[in-house]
Amino acid sequence: MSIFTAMRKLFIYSEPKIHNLGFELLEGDDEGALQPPDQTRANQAKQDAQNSGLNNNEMSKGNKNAIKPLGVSEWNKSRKGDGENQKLNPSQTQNKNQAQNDTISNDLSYSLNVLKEKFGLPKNEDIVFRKFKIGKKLDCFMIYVEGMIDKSSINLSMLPTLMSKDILEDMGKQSPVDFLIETVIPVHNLKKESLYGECIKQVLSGASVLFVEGCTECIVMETRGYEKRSVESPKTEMVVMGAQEAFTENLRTNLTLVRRILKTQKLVTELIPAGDINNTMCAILYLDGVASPRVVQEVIKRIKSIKTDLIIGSGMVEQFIEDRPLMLFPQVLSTERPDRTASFIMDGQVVIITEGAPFSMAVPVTFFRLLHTSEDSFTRWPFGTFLRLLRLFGLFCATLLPGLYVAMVMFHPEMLPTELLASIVKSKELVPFPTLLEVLIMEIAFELIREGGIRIPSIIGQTLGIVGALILGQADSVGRPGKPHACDNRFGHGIGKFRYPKLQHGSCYKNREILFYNCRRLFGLFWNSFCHIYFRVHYLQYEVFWYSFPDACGT
Amino acid sequence: MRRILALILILSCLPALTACYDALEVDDWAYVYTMGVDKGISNKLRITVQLPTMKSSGGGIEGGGQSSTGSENKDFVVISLDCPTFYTGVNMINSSLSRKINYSHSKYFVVSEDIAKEGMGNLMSAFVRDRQIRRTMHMIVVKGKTSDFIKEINPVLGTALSKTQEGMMNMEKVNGFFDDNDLGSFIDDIKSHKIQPVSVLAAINDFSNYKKEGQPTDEIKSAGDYYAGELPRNDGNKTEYLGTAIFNAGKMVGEFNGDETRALLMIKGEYETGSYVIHDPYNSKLLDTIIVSQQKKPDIKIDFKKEGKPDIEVKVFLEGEIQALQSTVNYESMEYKPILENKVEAFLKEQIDKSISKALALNSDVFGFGEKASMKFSTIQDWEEYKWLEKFKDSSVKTEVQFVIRRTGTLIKTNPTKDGKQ
Repeated sequence: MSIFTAMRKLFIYSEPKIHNLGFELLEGDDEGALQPPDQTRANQAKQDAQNSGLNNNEMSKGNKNAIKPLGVSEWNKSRKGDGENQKLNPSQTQNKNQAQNDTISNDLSYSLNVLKEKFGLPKNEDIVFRKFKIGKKLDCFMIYVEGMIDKSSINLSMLPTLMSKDILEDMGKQSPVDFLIETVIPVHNLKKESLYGECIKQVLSGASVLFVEGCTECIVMETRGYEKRSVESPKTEMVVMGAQEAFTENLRTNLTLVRRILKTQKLVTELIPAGDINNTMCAILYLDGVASPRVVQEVIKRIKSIKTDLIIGSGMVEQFIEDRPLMLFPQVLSTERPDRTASFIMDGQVVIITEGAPFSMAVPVTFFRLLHTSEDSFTRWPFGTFLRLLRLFGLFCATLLPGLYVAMVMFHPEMLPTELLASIVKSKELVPFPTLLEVLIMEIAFELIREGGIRIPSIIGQTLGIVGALILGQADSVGRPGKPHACDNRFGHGIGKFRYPKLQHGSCYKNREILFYNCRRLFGLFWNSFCHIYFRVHYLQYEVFWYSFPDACGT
Repeated sequence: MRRILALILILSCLPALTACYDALEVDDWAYVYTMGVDKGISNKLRITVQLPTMKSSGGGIEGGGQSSTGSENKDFVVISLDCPTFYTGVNMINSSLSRKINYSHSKYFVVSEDIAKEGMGNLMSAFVRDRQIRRTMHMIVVKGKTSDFIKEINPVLGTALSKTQEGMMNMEKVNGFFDDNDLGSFIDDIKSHKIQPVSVLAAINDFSNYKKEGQPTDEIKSAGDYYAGELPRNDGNKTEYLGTAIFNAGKMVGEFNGDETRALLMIKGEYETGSYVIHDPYNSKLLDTIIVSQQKKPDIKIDFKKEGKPDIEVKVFLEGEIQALQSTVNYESMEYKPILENKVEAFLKEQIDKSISKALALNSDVFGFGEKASMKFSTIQDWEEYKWLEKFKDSSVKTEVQFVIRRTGTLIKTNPTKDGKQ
């Protein structure tokens, strides 16, 4: 289907879609709540338009016709009946009630019980409630997760300070919380919090929280100190020249790594939790004034609207925010290199770093960006250009070589040089399989070894390497079951494929190439061309975050 | 829905348009390297095909590489068969071969002299219609029997027959002793009103011209003064490609020897390079060797002055390098250089004149003068009515050779050898 529309699009120029239409079908129920300023602005504009009667401003024209945004589920429900429509509001009011119940009580023992109940004590043994008296007078307790705090700072500075005799002497009529924050607690970063829910989130992320008798607020202290991997050299994107730092699983470390490169106040980091239960933090980094605000807003919107229990790492986020799940090409550009990330940000892309995986993702992405590596810019231009061309060549090898081989051998032997043909025929003599099967066997063997090579524990990995080399090597030299030419072909192809800076990109070509095989097996070079046209069109039509995917010179 | 229907329709049509049903594995074909046509004895034609047996595998299980013993019989098989036409003959051959014959990789199309002299226009036009016939095949006319000749095509150097065949035809660029013509242009030339076709002349050299015993001679014979099969040679390939078969209206009417072929190539502007032997201008006993190569395309002017008879002027531009000087005259100097150049010019003019007069006598415009002559006519109808190929024999040809020595090899000055006289 899309072939035709896409082909038509190739020939017929159509205006790009204008996205600020008067009517907008939102995707989730809480969608409207995300951009309250917009709504109020829209309402204002509406009022203005009504008041002034005539306003030729295009924006207000659009908004004049605006229908109140309606979520998909809302819309569905409204179709079923008005009675059900009212059920929507209770959920919102319920939230409000909950929020009221969530407020911290000034009764310390009540707070203690609430929190113990929420954390599931005494079953849950990870959570530490440390009760003590500030200045030997004021009752309080501190709550933190064992192992996630920096013990020494609590033991050596916090507790001694708080428990020393006369610290409360200077306290006047001030709230004890404010007094403690201002004059007593020796922690670099702390804040007040008035909701149990927020406190719990903070505790779970490694902060320690201090509840004080008679106060409706608590103090959240930044005392994180858990075990984490140190910054190591990149494992998947090695370069010869250039930085040898890679991201780690720790979000803060990663942000620091980027910030250390981009020393500008324009670099904005927004933190958004994703994952309904595990609350993984996603950091959205962009250069204010350079990145398109539309893309930034869209990224935030998409991440906020992720509805899933568990988010671990960027790969999952990628799949939730990409434009087209069926597109073969990757739609974000992920990297484990801070320097590369920084260059993406400088180019105006929006970068998403997710807690828990040492990768960052940049959007929007164009086809040719996927073929770049950071080393291209580190080396001098002749070599850098050569590398890029080489990669492009590798891409063609990866996509075309096996299918071309099958097509030539099956349908067009006259295209092969005579001596090559002779040696193919001679080696084929001993192979009991048809060409296609033979190539597929090689393909599967190759993929199995590749997959095994990644998954198998390194202790027995060596065995696999030897066996793999034996299988492919044997196949190469003996000509059975895969014959040398299929083999060479296979290797050229495999190497070509792994030339891609991005693994997903490679796997995309895998899918394509399998398709190509079958087409050529059945139909020869004619279908080869057909497939090509299809894939060109397939990739020409796509937009990623409103930016044309095949844009050759974009960003 | 309409789109889906359209898509289904189109997709179901596509396989029908392509040729998926005739997919054959590479080893289901038998590839013909050389194909030959003879006059038949028990049927109209005798066809000969040379097929590689594809037996020895480079890295096969047997390993061991290639066994040198009896490689002639082992690596290639030559099948001759009497049949009514070529393609029926191929079918007949397949009754004894397990693989389908494929001639898309043929290198040589070999025709015997008998058939060529009888006229091969009809044979050729029937022949080229097939899809598998490559027009880049080399066209060869063989003296004697084609079937015998093809049996002798073997790689003496190396093992790859196809490389040997292609390499052999490239020798035109090295010695200029034959005019390689491919099948496509041969057929074009047969049908042309402007030029007559030529083809490589080949024969089996049975080494009988090589006399093992006899009186040593001082007689000098030019290197190109031989026809195929005549070289006084002892070993090597039995097949020999030397000289050119000259056609008139699809019939072979004569032969050019090596030297005449060189002149032919010079006039066509296709001559690459080759060594010539000349007598030294000062001492005719001494022989000087000069490498002659084409400088630029020759300048050909044609007029129709006397009663419609063509008046042709040919100016050939050649340049050379001194390869070997037996004389001690310092021909590298500006003084003596023109003397040597003039000598070579005169020698080459004589060669060219000889082959032109031979062509005139055979009334075969193998040089393609017709190309230039046709420009004098305003319409193609006029040109065809004029019947150039018939009137070529009446033309008078004036030739001129311009020869310049450009390089002198690795010596820039000839010093006399010290002999007893000094």
